[in-house]
This record gives sequence, C-alpha cells and structure tokens, in this order.
Amino acid sequence: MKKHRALAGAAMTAAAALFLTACTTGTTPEESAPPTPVENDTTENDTSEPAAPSAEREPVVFWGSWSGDQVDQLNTHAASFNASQDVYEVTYVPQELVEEKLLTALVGGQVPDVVLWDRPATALYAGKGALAPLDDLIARDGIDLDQFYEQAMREMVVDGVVYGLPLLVDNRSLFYNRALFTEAGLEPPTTWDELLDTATKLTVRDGGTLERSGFALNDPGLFSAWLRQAGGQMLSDDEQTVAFNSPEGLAVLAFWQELLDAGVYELGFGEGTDAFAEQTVAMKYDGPWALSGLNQTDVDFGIVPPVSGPEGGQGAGMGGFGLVIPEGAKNLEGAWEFVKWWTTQPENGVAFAEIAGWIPANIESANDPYFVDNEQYAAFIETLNFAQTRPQVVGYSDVEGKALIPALEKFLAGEISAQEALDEAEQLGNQLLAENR
Amino acid sequence: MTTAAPRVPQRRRTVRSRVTGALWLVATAVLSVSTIAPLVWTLATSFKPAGEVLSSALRLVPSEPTIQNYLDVFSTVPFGRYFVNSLVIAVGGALTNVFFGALAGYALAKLRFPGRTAVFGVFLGSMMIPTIVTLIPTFIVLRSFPLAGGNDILGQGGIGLINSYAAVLVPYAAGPFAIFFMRQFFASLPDELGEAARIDGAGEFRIFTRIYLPLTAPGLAVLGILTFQAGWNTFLWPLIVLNDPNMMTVQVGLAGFVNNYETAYGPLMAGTVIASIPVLVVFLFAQRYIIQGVASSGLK
Amino acid sequence: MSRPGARQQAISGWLFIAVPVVLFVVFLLVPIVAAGVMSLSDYSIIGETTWLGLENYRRMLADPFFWIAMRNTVVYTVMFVPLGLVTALGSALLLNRQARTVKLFRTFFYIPVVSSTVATATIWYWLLNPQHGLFNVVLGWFGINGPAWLYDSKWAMFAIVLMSVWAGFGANMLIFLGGLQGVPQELVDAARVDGANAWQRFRHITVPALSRTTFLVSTLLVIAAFQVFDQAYVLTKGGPGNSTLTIVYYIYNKGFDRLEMGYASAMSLVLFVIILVVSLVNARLSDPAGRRA
Repeated sequence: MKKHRALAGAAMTAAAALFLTACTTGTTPEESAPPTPVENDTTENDTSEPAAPSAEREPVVFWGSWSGDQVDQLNTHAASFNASQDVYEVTYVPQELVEEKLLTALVGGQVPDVVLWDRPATALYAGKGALAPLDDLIARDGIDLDQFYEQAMREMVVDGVVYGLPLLVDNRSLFYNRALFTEAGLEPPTTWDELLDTATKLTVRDGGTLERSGFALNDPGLFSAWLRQAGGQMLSDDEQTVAFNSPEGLAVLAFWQELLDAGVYELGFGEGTDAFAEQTVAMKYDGPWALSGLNQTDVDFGIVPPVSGPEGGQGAGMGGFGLVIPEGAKNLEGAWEFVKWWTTQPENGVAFAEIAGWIPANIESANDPYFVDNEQYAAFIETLNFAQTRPQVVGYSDVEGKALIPALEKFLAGEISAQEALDEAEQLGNQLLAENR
Repeated sequence: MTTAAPRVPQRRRTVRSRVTGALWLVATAVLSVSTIAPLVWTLATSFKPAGEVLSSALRLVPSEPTIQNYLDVFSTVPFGRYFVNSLVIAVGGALTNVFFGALAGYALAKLRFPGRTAVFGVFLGSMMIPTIVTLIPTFIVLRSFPLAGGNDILGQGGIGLINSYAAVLVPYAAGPFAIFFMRQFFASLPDELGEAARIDGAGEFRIFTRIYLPLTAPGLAVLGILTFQAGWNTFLWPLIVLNDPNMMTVQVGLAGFVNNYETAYGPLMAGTVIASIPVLVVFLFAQRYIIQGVASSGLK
Repeated sequence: MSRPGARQQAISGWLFIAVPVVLFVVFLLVPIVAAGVMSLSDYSIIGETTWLGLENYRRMLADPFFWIAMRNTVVYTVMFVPLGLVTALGSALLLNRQARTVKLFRTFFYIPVVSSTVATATIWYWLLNPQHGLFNVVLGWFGINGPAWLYDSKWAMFAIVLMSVWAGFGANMLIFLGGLQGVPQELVDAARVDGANAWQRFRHITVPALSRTTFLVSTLLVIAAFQVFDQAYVLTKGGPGNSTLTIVYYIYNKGFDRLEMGYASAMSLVLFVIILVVSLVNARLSDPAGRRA
C-alpha cells in the first residue's frame, strides 16, 4: 500500500515538473509567437466573394468589446471591406473590457491597429497618449468632418486634435406599447403633460399592487436629457461648476414626483426582466439596441421622439461608438483605409445597419431611406437632430456617476427632498470638478 | 461503578424525535429549495428560445424547448477550446499547489531550520493581500520575464509570458493557502516517525515522500479539489493576461455573452450549465474526502 | 552540540520551501513594493508619471468617496461575518448525521458556491423585487410592507450581505462539518447521561471543540468581506445612493476606469494594512493564550 502511494507521489511530482516546463518553454503554438490574430480563420469570416489569399495581404487587427452574435456581424462587415480591395485584411478579435485590454496591450507593446471605441473614453485615453492623432491623415485625404453628427464628432476631439472618427450613434427615444394605446384610445405623448396623462391612464393596479406601469421612470441617469427638456443645463457655460441645481432642475424632479404620486411607477418594478417585452410596462425610454430583442417577441410597439418640456424644450442623450487607431499600431495605413471605408462611405453605414441594426454617425448615411422610411428607426433619426453628448470636462463622468445619480436615487426612494438632492449633488459635483482641474 | 444509562420511556422519545425529525426535514428542505432554485432556473432558461427568454423569464417549463442555445454556445465562440483551457489551468493549478503546498507545508511543520517561523508568518500574512494591489505590477513582471515570448535576457522586446498558460499558472503555483492548509496537516502528525527514520540514516526527501506524505492523502485530495475549483472559477486574472480567443477560459467566454446592450441569456445559461458540470462532478465525487480530510487535519 | 542531521534538516528545509519563496518574492513581494512606489506617484500605466510623494495619501483623507467606501465595507463586514459563521455552523449541525439523504442535501447546500454569479444575481434580483419578489410577498402575508431592497439605500447593503452569505455558506459548512467530526463523542454521551440538554451540550462541548475551526472560518470570512466586489458590481453597481460602493470597487474604478493607478495603489495598501490589523485582532480574540500555531 505504501509503495503504491509513494509511486503515485512520484508520478505526481514528475507530471507537475513536466507540466511546468511545457508551459514555460512555450511548446504550444499560441505561446511561442506573439498573439497576432492573423490566422485568417475562414470558418468565422462569412465571405460572400472569395478574397485574395491572405498571404499577400497586410493584416489589420481590429479589437472591440462586442461579443456573442455581434462577432459575426462585425466579421461579415469586415469581410465586405476585405472583398472591396486586395491590399488589407481586417480581422475582428473580441476583447472583453477592451479599454483595459488596450492598456495592457500598450504596456505589452502589442497594440491592435483599429479599435471599436466607446466615444466618451476618448478624452481620457487621448490625454495619456494612447491614441494616434489623425489630423494629418484627415487633411491629406480631404475628409470633411461636417459629414458627421457634430455632437458625435466633438467627442473624438481632444484639445483641438482629432483622435478618431465617429462610427455609430444612438439615443434614447420613447418606446410605447401600441396595442395598449389603441385599446385605450390614446395617442403617444409629445409633452410632459401628455406623458403624465397617458401614463396614468395606462397604469393598472390590483388593489394596492402595481400590475402594469404606465411609464418606467427607472433611470435617473437620463436626468441630463430631462433637464434640457426643461430648458436647463448640466454645467455652467465655462464648465467650471455644475448648473443643474436650478429652477429647471427642480422642475424635472417635481415632475418625477408627480409621476410617482400618480402611482405610475414604483422603484424596482419590472427590473431584472424585460418588463416592456412582458407588456407590464406601457412606455419606456430605450435605444436602438433593444429592437432586435423586441422584434423576436410579438409585442406591438412603436417609437416616438422624447417628449418636450413645459416650454417646448427638447432633450435627448446621444451615445455610440467610434473608430480609433492606437498609438504604435503596426498598420496605420490599413487601419485608416478601413476607418474611411466604414465612416465616410454612406452605403457601408447602411450595409452595417442591415446586418446589425446600428445607426451610422455619418449624417447622409443616417438619413438614407433605409432608416427614415423604417418606422422603427424614424423616431431615432429625428431625435438625432437635437440629441447631445455629455460634456468632455475631466471628471464629468464622476459628477454624474458619483454625485448626481446617487442623490437622485435617494430622491426617487423618498429619502430626501428634491432640493436636498440637488444641493448634495451640487456640492459633491463642484468638489469633483475642482479636484480634476 | 456507574449504573447503566437510565432508560428513557419509549413513547416520549419517539414523539420528540419525530417532531425534531419533521422540523429538521422542513428546515433542510426550505434551504435546499433556495439553493437549487438558481440551477433549476438556469437549466430551464437554457432550453428556451430567444423570444421566450425575454417575455416569460420566470416560467420554469419552457413552452417550446429547444437545444439551439447549446448549439449557439459552441458555434458563436470557440467554447470547446475555452473548456480545454480552463481544464488545463484548473488541473495544472491543482497539481502544482498540491505538490508545492505539501512540500513547503511539511518543511514548515516538521523540519527545523532558521527563519522557519518568520517564513510561515510571512506566507500567512500574504493571504491578506488584496488581489487588486498586485494586479498591474504582476502583469508587468510577467511581461518582462527574461527569455520568454520573444524577450531578450533583460526582458525587453517581446511579450514575456503574457497570453500563455504560464501567465495564469506560475504566479499562483504555490499559493499561501495551500501551504498553510498542508502545514496544519503535517503538524498534527507525530514527530517520532521522522526522528526514527533520521536515526536510521534516511534522507529528508525520502522521509517526506515515504513516511509523511502518504499519511496526508485525504488532505491532498481536499486541497486538490479546492484548488481545482478555484482555478476553474477564476475570472479577472485570466481576463487580463490572456488576449487571444484561443487562450481564453470558460468564465471569460461566459462573460462575453453579457453585454451592456443585450445579454444573450439563452446561450449564457447554456454555457453556464456546461461550465458548472466539472465542478459539480468533482464535488459530488470527492465530498466524502473533503469532510474526512478536514476532520483528520489539525484544523479542528 | 548540534543534533544529528540538523544541518541536513536546515538545508532540506530551505530547499523544500525554495520554489514558494521564489514565487512569493517575484509575484507578491516585488509587485507590492512596486505598488508602494506607484502609490507615491500619479502612475497611469500609459502616459507620463510625476512624483507625488505622500500626496495620494493626503488626498485619500480628504476624499469623501474613500470614506463612504470604507464605511460601506465595514458595515458589510460587520453584518457578513457573524451571519456567515451562523449559517455555516447551523447548516453543518443540521447535516452532521449519517443518513444517506444527508449527502444529497450537502450537495444541494453546496450548489450556490458553484453557481455562476450571473445566475445568482438574476435570481436574487427577482427575490428582492419590491413588488413581486418572494421576500416582499412573504412579508406581505404578515402585513409588513417590505422595503424596496436594492433600490433603498438603507437596505441595499443588507440585501447584498444576504446574497453573499447564501452564495458562500456551503463551502464553510464543509469546514465546520470536518470540525464537528472532531468533537469527542464520549463527552457528548456523558453529558447526555448527566442530563444536559442539547443547548448545554452545544455550548459547553461543541463550541470549545470547534474553536480552531471557528477561528479559521472567521479569518477567511473577514479577509473576504473586506474585499467584497463582485456582488456590489453585478447587483447594484455601487448604488443606490452610493450605499454599496465598497472599497475594492472604488479602487478598481479609480485604477482601471479613471487610470489613476497611483491613487488606487495607495488605497489598496491602506486596505491591506487594515485587513492585517483586523486579522491580528481576530487572532488575539480567538486565542489570547497563544496556544495555536
């Protein structure tokens, strides 16, 4: 028995030693060479036309955090680019948490050539020298920056230098359950008052329990859009202090209170599932990303632009992606060709929407009949005309994330009053702005 | 001297033990239901088609069961490859930790050498280091590893050990928990065994492998299983050091199904089911060893 | 005069621990020192780095969010550790018997430990749903209007504690089960003969016999509690009202989201010192005589 155990022990030792050496000397193919995903994995690329053999083409490494089904979408689109010319070969590599991966890539010295980039992150990373400035290339190739939505474009500019081009835009518009509206004989709202009215009429309670919410007031993060509808602004004109602690800010919170008092919504209602898809919420603010999921259910829904404020003010938040080229990318030219192909040629923006449903940041492309004539996109396109992105000031994201939204959450929970919430948020927010200056 | 144990009247014992028994059953059943619920829901969701996942998330029996999600898991990402990677990392980690943990634990428990207490104290203390402190510096160390991944002798030029199994296995090959755990085991064994062998002229390594190590087999089994599980479930570190999709682990792969915009619940749940199987199997099989192992260690 | 073989022992001793020591130095000591150096600068991984001296530490003291995070973490620890101990020990006592079904129940209790965070989080979202979740529905049967749990800044942290305890008690239950095997049965039988009831047997025999195990489990719980991150990140993202912003969450946020690695390192080192101190206090409390190795 003992001998048996000793043998087992020896075998284990040997195995462990063997194993360790195998790992550190890099005998497997993935370890012996730097990770350039050049392997033209044709099983993933759904090419419609045969492309030139990969050996002759320069690789362009394309990173992004899109995963799952979206990988195929990007591969299909990249394949179109590859088929359109025979110099470069773009390959998409999904990277969870792509900004962090870029950091480690910069440290490790193996950066990708082009990245599907969350636009608001540009200021932080460009400031640290992580992104390549594109002004020279833009001038050389005569790219007109006005062809993009101005708000999206400005997110890619830091200290007057352009660090990427906007690629996709989105905003939050008002989804409404058309079946419920028709049943109640209502029209979708266009103002705050109409919103309150229709929401109240569509709310259903069983005894005291909320069964159907007329309007999901579940995202205090949309405050900036509401504030603009009320005619206010988030920061002072010189962007040194916050400006939301104003009569307009209080007007927004007063309206939210009216919605809550009318019983239209309760905190946490429908969270954790898709309540709109389950038809327990009649109206909500959401973006184009929700379309594909909803279209797989049988909910009859429509979309209209966000409602206007009491004085007719309009406001909506714009988000989206851009394409950037990291500093030190091996194939700058190839990456630039890909960026130009996708962003400046309107038909390619439309083509991607056909694959993936995203709206291009190129104005001409976004106003293609494909979108404008499509009832599911029409509202989003209209909203894009007045949607705004967030201020670029350093520390602004913390002002919203750490100072404002927590205060609003406490207000919605009934723990503090509207004035207290805005006061608290103002104090912390100004402190954050000052700290980051 | 003592009289026989007083006899408890039969009837009272039965009633009381029946009531206790019933209460026991109720408490255990309630707890069990709460613990199984996620697994059941995960299983149910994994068989639902996409539309149903969103519109009737709480229903436990899918109205149109489908195995599409399982197919999707393997077709949209190289899940088979992820599985293999996780297996390599989990098994590798278990082997190295068991070996070095036993070796070092034995030395700290049974061998006298200068600095022994200090070394043990330092290892113990290192268990308290929050992982987040050392994340980036460790990454830099791995990247600058000399003569690896294209690096020269000064550790410049290539990517070092990044994107290899070594990046995950080497830093955690001899964890302080393994050493602490095994040390407690060895400490509870008598010294005389070793003393006698020493007088007989046996070498230290021989004493270790022939005498003491076999006696700790249950402890080794426990450690192996716990390390396997830890290695299987680890997420953040492989995420940071493994760039290539071919190298990624199952947990990183699963995270890819969760998106800011739309979580693909169906494939995510299918993937979760598949990913949970090895750990559950290992646990079921080794449950007996774990309890026995902990019992015979000096941990009680 | 040295004992026979003492030299051989010393050499073997160092040889045996050689690999772990080397790994420790390379992958723990060097990174900690590096983190210490980073904490004295505004290192952001990329871009330029300036020397800051103790500025980061001064900033920490004046940073309202650092204190909020510290307070939240302490609140979490104070709730989590006792609750974790009680559930682990309680379930171990429940399942410390020989019946065949018990093995099955032990597996059930262990399942949360192996469940994915996403599945667990989704389930708990529903359990805690203010309108239709199980908790508030059951509370409603007793006429109690349950709180909005994850949306109420006074209750969110407690909800997270509940979920964490539920997710982890299976593992500690096993440790306690092992410990219970070591309770001397003769003492228990003798006590029963002498007329001690279950509670008295528990208090005077079982608890002392479990002291080493309890110390192990409580130390593990404390170390884990101070590093709580996953649950706060997945369930509540630090909200509502910053009530679940834990220190590791804040460190991660500052280091990786804002690229303020220097500041993040400074906070991590402070956290390390705190964990060390608390663990030492815990050790002292559990073992004032210093019996334990």
